[in-house]
Amino acid sequence: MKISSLLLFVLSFGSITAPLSNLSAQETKKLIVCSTTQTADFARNIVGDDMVVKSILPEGADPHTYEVRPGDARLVASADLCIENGWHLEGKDWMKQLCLDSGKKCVTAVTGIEPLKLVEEGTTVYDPHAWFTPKNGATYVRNITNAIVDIDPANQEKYESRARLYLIQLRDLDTWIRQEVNNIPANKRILITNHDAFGYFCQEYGFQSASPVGWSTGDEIGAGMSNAKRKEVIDSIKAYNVKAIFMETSVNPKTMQELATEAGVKVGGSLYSDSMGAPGSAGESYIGMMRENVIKIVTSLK
Amino acid sequence: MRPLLALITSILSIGLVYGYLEFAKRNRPSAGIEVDYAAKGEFKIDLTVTCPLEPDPFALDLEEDKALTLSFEGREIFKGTDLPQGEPVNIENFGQLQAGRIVTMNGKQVEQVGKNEFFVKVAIPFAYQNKAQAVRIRITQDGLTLVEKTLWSNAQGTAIEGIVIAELPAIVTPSPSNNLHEY
Ligand SMILES: [Zn+2]
Repeated sequence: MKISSLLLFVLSFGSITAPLSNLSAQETKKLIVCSTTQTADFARNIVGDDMVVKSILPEGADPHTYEVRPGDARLVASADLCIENGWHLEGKDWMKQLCLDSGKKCVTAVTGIEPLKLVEEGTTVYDPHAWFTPKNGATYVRNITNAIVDIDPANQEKYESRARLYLIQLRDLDTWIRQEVNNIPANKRILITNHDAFGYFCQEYGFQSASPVGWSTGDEIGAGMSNAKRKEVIDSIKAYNVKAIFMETSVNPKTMQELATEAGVKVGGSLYSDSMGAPGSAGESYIGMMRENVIKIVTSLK
Repeated sequence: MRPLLALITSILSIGLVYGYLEFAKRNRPSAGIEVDYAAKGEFKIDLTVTCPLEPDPFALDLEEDKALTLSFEGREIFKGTDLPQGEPVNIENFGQLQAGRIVTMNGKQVEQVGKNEFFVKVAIPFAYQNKAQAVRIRITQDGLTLVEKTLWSNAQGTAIEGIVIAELPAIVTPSPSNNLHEY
């Protein structure tokens, strides 16, 4: 009887403490809240399982027109680190506002990138879609790594080690894109998408670009569709004998389908633009979305 | 009554185990003699790169990380961007190399060669990725070549990465009382 009591004590002690220790490990993990799926993916590649990373923007959603929900404010309020893309990608600066409301510091991931400047209605706007080159992606990774190290300097070595591996992957991605794009003759490198999300990509890999909507799908300066822009795009398609135009996964496809019919050109598929794909899809990661975009562009335009 | 008995038994068991561990720790045999395996001589490295270098856009720290880094046992001993193309750069005072030693395995004395591992990483500028690039590393001991190796760029032509090992054998001293050696 005595032995069975002892056994019972040891077993019950173990069964109580084990789940408790798991729970406390989860509770003590720091929380990073990112505005977009891309910044969240960069952060995940740096923190591994050491921290929890959440994106406010769901996969496939549009950051320009996103409307914050009550849950977002609670999430930001509980964050140890908040990261936004910046340059007004988040329409009306919704991430900055959420951080301001909760008294949290907001790290801007595009800091240090040479901006692509767009002059819209007499105002200079910085194109916020900077993640579209792996080189700029490297700057996102550096900024996010520094911010993570700031909140957990004890594990600096681990974060920097993961960041270095990820930067190797970004370097390889950049080289691979150059090799693939090389299959498209220079005079056929014209990328027509719903909105001007691909400016950095086009500049880096030698494409011309056009879109009926402008730099933002929201209602910022110079954003939104106009008949003049629409006509310009159709004229460009005809003048350059463009083989295909592209929809975007985070934008309603209707405009581009109508435009394709009108211009007599095929649709080359949907490109991942302002947010990544759902978990399990090919575009669930930054590298995956870039890879799938390049494959669609090359096979449609070459 | 039974839970109380179980609690007392547990405390007693934990106390006994703790006491034994403390006893074992205090009576553990000492690690023995401290042995210095440091290799003797003057060591130098010559590094030669086939292309001019530029700051690496994929480096983690643009301020600190340079286009070429040479590490020895996880410690950066040289980094630079302004390297003369095709001209050797001399590196000195980079740390202590380890000589080999004689160890006893299955009752026999076996030589364990001292392996000194260097890791070199070079980011090749985009303009020079169209053909293979290389870095040559020569490690000398008192002016004599210990190892010389040429590492070539990866399949994409974007970087050179590799390991160079400087091996230093053990020299057995004729001391019957000490099977360790001096190099
Ligand atoms: Zn956009």
